[in-house]
Amino acid sequence: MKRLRTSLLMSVGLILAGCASLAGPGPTEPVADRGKETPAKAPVAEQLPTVKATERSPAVDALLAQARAQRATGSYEQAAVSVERALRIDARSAALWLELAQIRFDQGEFEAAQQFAEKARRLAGVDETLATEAERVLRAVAAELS
Amino acid sequence: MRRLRLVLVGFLLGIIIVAGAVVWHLDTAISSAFEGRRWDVPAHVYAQPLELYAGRSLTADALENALRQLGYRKQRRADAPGTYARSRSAVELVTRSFRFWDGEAPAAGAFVRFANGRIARLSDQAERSDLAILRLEPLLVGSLFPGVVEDRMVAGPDEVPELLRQALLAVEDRRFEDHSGLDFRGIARAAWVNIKSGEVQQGGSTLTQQLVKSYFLSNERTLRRKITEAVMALLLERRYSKPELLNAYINEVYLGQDGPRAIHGFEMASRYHFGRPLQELEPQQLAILVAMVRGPSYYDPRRQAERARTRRNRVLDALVESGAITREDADAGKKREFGLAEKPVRGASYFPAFMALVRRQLQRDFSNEDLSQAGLQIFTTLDPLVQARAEQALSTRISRLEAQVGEGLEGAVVVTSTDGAEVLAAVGGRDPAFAGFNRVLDARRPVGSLLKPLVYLAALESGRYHLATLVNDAPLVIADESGEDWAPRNYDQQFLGEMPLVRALAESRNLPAVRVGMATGLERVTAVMRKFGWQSETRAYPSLLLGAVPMSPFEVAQLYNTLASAGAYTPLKAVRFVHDESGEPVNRYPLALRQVSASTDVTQINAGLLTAMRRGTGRSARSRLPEGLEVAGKTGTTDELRDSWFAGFSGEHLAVVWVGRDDNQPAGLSGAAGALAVWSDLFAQLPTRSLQLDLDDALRVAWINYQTGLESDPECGDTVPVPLPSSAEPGFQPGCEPGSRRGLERALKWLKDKIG
Repeated sequence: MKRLRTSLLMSVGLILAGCASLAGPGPTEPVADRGKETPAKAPVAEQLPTVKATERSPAVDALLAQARAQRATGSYEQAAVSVERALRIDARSAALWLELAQIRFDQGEFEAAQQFAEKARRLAGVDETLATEAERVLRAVAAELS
Repeated sequence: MRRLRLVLVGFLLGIIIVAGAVVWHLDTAISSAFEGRRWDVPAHVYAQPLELYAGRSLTADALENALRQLGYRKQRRADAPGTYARSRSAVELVTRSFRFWDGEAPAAGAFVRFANGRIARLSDQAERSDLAILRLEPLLVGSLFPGVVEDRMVAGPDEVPELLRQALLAVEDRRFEDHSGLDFRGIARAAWVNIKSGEVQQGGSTLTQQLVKSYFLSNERTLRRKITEAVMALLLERRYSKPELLNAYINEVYLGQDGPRAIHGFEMASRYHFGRPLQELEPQQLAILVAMVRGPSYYDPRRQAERARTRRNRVLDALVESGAITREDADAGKKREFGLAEKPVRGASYFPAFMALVRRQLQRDFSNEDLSQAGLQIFTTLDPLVQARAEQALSTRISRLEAQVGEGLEGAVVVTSTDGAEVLAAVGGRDPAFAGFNRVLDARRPVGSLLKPLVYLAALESGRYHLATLVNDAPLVIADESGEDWAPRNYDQQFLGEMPLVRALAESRNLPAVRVGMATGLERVTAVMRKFGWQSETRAYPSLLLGAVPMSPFEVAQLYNTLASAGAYTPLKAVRFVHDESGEPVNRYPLALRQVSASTDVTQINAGLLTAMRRGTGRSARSRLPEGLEVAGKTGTTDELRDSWFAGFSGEHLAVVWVGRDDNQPAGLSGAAGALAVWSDLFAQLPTRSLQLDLDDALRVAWINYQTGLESDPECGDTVPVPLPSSAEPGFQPGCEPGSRRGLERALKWLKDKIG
């Protein structure tokens, strides 16, 4: 019995192996490139690099807090300078772009506010709070611009 | 008799007229040469300040280099502003106070711990509490004059130590305050001394004469030249006041060579020899510099220490004689070691290509009158660390390339921060300190394949193409601008037939680009170029599609920066702020952007450029880059291998590199072999973030077959992942339908495990 099962399994295996090789990948054409002769096949299943959440940075937090405080007292350009300084540390922070949008909005620069809010929305990704906030700014801007 | 008198009078008149003309001519020469060189109104130009914060990619060595460039002194403990101490993985420092654009920052002590190439902790000196962020004062990198091209370090009147003035007067020109340009007593005495000793020991020139000589830099010592200089000295004295002349002298006098670059002025010399600002020098160090006036190489403190010491001591004695310092101070000074910087601070503050960008940006917004306010402070985007790496990468790699393809290669590099659109580095040639031709701005070369991403972007914007769309790498004949037949070919002379657009882009095939470009419309392509920042007139000819457009590296950087920031156009900037002397803002260049192309479309193109780096024409960079660093980029090669281009970016930085020959002869290098090699060397060393693609809801990631463009299971056949519009349906690869293979292969694997 055992031997029968083994031979059956082996036959199935052989058939499957045969099918596998028939439908396998064709030979890859080496890319005629300027000078390099290495074959051009990509490593198997290499994903596209998509957005990863950035780590919280105390420096960014401190600068953002400073910007908010400056905005609250009406020092808009100073606030913008603080945000720009933080953006040099982490340009992917939706919160920073959003703050910039808010500053420009408060200054009445609605076109700029719109651009920054759009960017914030794109970068917000899965962060619901930020995405919602960005959309709120965008609606407010649309109202002003219409 | 009468006639003789007439002749004499006529002769005298003639001489007077000629003399007058000569004098007038010399006067004009002086005024034009000194015009705009107002030594009392130098505008100081600063690099961007180094910001310290936990998590920042920075090594202890890099921080120490930055501190040394700033003239910090290394000590056992950091106990005063401008000092630091170092252990293997930590740096303790006290910053100097500095008036930034957002207020005065007082001197601050800090302790910086490093681990794994980053700042692990930033705290106060006692390591009690953490600091969120600390900004070092920015490095002074040059000075600007309103109307005149100048990249020199300059000391304004209140930056010149009084002791230096006194030393110069005591040693070089005691009667400076009194004479009117020439010192006849001095000349007579020098002549006497020289005759007595039988050799030329004393010069007898006044500071004014030396200023003239130093300025009109040729070393002719003919009688005619001496008379010319004498007359010019007199004229100078009539035009300018004593303090102005002394300041000019202090900033003009020739004090040696830094390779191909002449060192003019005491501020430059101070930084070159001692690595410190003029104001921070000790008296004996000032004395050394004054000693060098008589012969910078003869009295070079590095190579001729004994001579330098003797002469320094004599200068100190002269200072005692004139009452400027006490005998005790002089003796103390004589006992001191020179205190030279470990190595001459080479090109540390000399960035001619970058300064050209600064000037261009300022001239756009300021008239010369605006810029001629005294003491302007100009804060730029230059990153000295990035600049140093870019300079190194270019010159080292070009030397290596020349071993293969022969001498005469040149190059240029521009590095920007993609989201901020700030120019971090600009290298105008393989010898960066040599202020010759600035290739960053002024070398305009056809860009070859560099335009293809914009061609394909125009196609994507039309809605009729995506990355999986089949395009045809097949022969084509079209009419060119003169009506002649144009039959473009591929670099490898082959035609590979139909292929998905992503492959045509990644492998830089010419025919698909021409076909797609013509089908989309040349006007659409030029429209993309314009909205991405291209400012010149472009004639919409088919050859445009293969990059028959001359551009400078800077212009290419503008286009690619817009790509790298997912379609947000921001004009590249080299200046952040301009302030006046008291800290009042004169102008700020705030961050601003305009989304000029849907990020959905640009992201797809960037995915194509990523593929180019993974397996296309840019793949040779892979082995040189740090593991896990994802980048995107495009090679560019022109006809007969004349120009070698590469434009590529990470998640944080963009760099454009051009390599070629100034005489436009073929360099013999493809984009990958030449410019990409430089780019890889740079990115191998540059702390930078990996590229991330923004995949929003309008896109979905599909795995397509690299030959057919049909959707496949990722592990079936030769596949690449590409972002496609959600609605795109490329069709399925027979036998490789997504999900179909997995069951089969899983079973196979199970069997293998059981049997094998």
